[in-house]
Amino acid sequence: MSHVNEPANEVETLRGGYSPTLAWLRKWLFTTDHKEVGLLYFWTSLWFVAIGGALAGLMRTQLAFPAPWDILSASAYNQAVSMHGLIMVLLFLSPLGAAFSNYFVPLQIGAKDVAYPRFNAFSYWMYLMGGIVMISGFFAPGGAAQAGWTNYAPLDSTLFSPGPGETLVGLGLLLLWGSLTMGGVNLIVTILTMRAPGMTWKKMPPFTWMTLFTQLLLLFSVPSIFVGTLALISDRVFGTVFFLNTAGSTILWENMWWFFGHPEVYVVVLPAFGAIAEVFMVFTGRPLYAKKALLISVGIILMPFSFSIYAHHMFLTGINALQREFIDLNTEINTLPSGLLVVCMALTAVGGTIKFKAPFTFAVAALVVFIIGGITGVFDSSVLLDQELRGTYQVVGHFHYIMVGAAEFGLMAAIYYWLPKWTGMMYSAAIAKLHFITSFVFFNMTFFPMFYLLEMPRRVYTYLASTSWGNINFIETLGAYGFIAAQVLLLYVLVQAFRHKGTPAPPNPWNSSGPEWTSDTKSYLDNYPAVYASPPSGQSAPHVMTAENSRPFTISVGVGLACIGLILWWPLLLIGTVLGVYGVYGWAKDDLNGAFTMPGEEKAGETWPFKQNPGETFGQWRMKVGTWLFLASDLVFFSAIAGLLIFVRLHLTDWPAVGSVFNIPMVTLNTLILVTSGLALMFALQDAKEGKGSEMTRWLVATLILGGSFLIISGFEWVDQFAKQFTFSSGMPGSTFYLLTGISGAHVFAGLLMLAYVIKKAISGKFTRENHFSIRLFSLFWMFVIAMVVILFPAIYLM
Amino acid sequence: MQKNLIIATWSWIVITILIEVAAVPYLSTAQWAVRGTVESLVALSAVIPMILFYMGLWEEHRSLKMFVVVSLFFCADLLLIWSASSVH
Amino acid sequence: MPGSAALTASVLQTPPPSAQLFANVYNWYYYLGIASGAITFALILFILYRYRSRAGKEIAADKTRENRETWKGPLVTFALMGIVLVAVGAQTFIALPTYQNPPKNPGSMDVAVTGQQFFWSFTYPNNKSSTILVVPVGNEVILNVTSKDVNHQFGIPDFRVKTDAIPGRHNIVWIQPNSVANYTIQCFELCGVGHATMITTLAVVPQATFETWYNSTGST
Repeated sequence: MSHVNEPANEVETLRGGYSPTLAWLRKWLFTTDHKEVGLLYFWTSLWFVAIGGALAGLMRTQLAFPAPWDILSASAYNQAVSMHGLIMVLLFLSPLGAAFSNYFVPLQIGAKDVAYPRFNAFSYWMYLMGGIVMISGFFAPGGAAQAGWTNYAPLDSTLFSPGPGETLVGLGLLLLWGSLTMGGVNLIVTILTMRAPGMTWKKMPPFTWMTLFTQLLLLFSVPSIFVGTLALISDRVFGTVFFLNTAGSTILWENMWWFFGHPEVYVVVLPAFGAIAEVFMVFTGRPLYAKKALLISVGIILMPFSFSIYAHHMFLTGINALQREFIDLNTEINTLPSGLLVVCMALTAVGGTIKFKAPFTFAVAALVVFIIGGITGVFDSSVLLDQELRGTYQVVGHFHYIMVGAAEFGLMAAIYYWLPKWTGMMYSAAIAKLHFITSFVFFNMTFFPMFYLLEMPRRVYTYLASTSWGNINFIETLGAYGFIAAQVLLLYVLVQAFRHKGTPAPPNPWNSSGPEWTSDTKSYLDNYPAVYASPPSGQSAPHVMTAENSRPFTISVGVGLACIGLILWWPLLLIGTVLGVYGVYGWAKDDLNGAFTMPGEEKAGETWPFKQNPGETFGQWRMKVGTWLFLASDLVFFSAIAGLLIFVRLHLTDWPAVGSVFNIPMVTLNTLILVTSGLALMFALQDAKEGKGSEMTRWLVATLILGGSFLIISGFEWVDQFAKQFTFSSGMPGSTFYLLTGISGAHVFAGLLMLAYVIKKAISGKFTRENHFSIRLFSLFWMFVIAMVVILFPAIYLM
Repeated sequence: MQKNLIIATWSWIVITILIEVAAVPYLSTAQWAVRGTVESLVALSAVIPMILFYMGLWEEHRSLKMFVVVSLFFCADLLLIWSASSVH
Repeated sequence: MPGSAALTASVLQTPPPSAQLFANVYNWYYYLGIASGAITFALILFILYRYRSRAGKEIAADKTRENRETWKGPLVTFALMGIVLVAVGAQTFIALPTYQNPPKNPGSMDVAVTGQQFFWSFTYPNNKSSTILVVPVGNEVILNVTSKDVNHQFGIPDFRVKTDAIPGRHNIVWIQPNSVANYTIQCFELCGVGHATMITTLAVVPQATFETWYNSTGST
């Protein structure tokens, strides 16, 4: 029997004597265990795919016949197509990959959990809340967002999308970006620092490698769209004009969106390929072919190039011809690692003994379908061909072959492969076979005909009977119905397994050499009683520890309610804010009281090329690595802001003269006040190192006072500008000023909250000469913020 | 000793910010791209010593190294501003 | 709108030069794409068949995940892919200047195209405006495309010509109609509820018919 459904008395032992129902609720709402969080991601992503799939069914029903067939109106169809894209990419495929990453990466590297378990739970709840906020648009007046999943400007502005639906999507996306950033830092730090002794980079399984690449892609692509979404919300809620300006609004949005959007497609595909690699090894009995070459080409070619080729989505916008050709070339180069992926998988089987079980057949299907998707993508990489193919069903066919075909079939392989590990049960081979055949046949029936529709525009709710598209669309609709119906079989398999009906599976039914299979399924909270180098010889004694914390849930629900309340019903905004603040305060209190304990303090295993410093505990060192990683992401975030500013200034020559709007002496002084707060902090740090507790506390308080003064004076500056009619809507100068100072101010505010926590710790006498780690960590963040403000200062005020 | 270095770093940042403000009239004739580049580079020259010092990338002869780096940046800043002011 | 009696030949008697150029390049991608795909499928099918599990032919599963490092296979893969990619890419780059740059022959006409929710309007050199694009056969027409409100995309599928219509920007495409016929113009970028119905016609007419229409007052 697996750990997931423990007998009632064990649950009570671990959960402190609550009634079974309450214990079950507490377990799933408050868990921080990576395995349970992984399962939360899994079931939530399936719930979202049901919604996205229903929308697809509606769309295909509408497209089955030409005009005047209109069971869906144009507006309803546009809502369906926009939300379908957002849900499928961001709320289904990406989180489904995260489900496997969360569950298996610690098991594969021999770690007890991820680096920051509470942040892990927080990522999940923010994802769920973000999705709910986005979908709540369907219940809002005017309906859900209808500007496409790409939300192009100015269609996404209040002028052309007046209802709250688009704003709800923007707010939901903000929660999602936060979730992805936290998740990225978490998984990367886990992989960098928590590998067991013996788990070198070379030995690391391909699925963990692909997770690492995926999270790195996310960490550096999300900041761009984070800023874009903030600007969009700023437009829609506060009246700025970023995306209502003919001086480049459209192109500005497209750049910010696709800088994220293109790496995102690799984010979706790479975890699936990690799973495919694992499955190929196990079901052919052979090691992965050319693993090093494959990983190097993905890490060194695919990843960086994916950032430089995004403008192939913008070939028709009128960008420079030389740029287009450069991007055409780079896009072609980027197909090389993808091709290598296919070849390496195929050659892995050479010399092996292939067992055609469900995981393997799905993996092969994913590969085959990926080839078609990849080749059709090469068509779109051509600047010339794209000029006809852009905006047509050829593109729709191409990306569905990649997204549904490669990613989804790959992840289905993962589901069948790892189902015995999750549930201790084996699926019915007959049903799996039927599921495979129907899915594969109906998938191709739905999407292959699209390559013959290279003149039919995308996102149209109807088409004329005089075109020849009716028959093809009808076939596609039948295929879609079949594909959706086929997934009922998967649902049946899952429900049976999770309810422990059917054939139990042995601990390692595939005889896999993967490290995750050697962990004891029965041990609930600890993953490995021993290090990876020698497999565990017996079951570890269960020990009671805390792997639950309510704050991630509370904060996320608060934030989600606040977002919905902001747009739809203000009492929710109040409730949400109170909940969120309560949760944050509770989190800090937990830390001060040591209420949340990590699964035992361990020593570092394999950490090359990073080294733990002497005098730091393992937990402290992990916090430091994570902080540096987060700051790197924050740096990209500020670079995106700088990029926005540069773009705007280069397009808009009409700008107020320097000194005509701002009080230069005052803002200079204010900046110097913030810089001086850094001086005070450095003095505090110096005093901490010398063990001078009371001086240290005084300098910390001075930092707080100076930082707080900076914020207050900035607040007065805002009020003063408003009085002078320089508001959010004062053209681009106003928009950029308020966005930049708002974001900087938010960073300062967050820093002050952290500082308050640090001061509380100082006053409670928690710091010593040897151990004042919180101050050092905080100073990293504060110095970063000061550096950003110093660099932005001339950009905002002196130009 | 350490606190003196902290004060020195802070002083340099203050001086750089004042240079930026003072440079505005000299840069007023230049194009925005030129002005932007110059001001940004001057701002960077404020931040880089801060980073170097914070990361403790020099352990010996700190004061001397600091003085040299800061002086170089100071000269570079003035040179940048002077050359940008003559560009139209 | 010129009467239908003025239209003689059926659509697509001779594809316009831009469509022919497109078809040439497309065929390179198409045939090389099918070939690459077919070869890869064949390789995979062969491997699956050759190494399938048979009684007595089982091998011991690999328990150590030993390295199977090589650069030979990857480099060969890159080389073969590279050849195909260079071959197709070259076709694009060779044809691109002709495809993109209007030859600006004498007799070429500039027409301003404006997309808005939810129709296209065309403005001629004599400031005549129309919601249908009427052009004389045989002459080059340079289209200057922009938008009045949101993003649209101006496409003439039969000519294989398309460009974004972006507010504040002007994108140039050109066509060389060589048959008297009607062609479809449609919007290809989601622009709101009227996106699917933002359809109009490119009416290629004989020179004389065009002259008459061009000089008449009032929009059509």
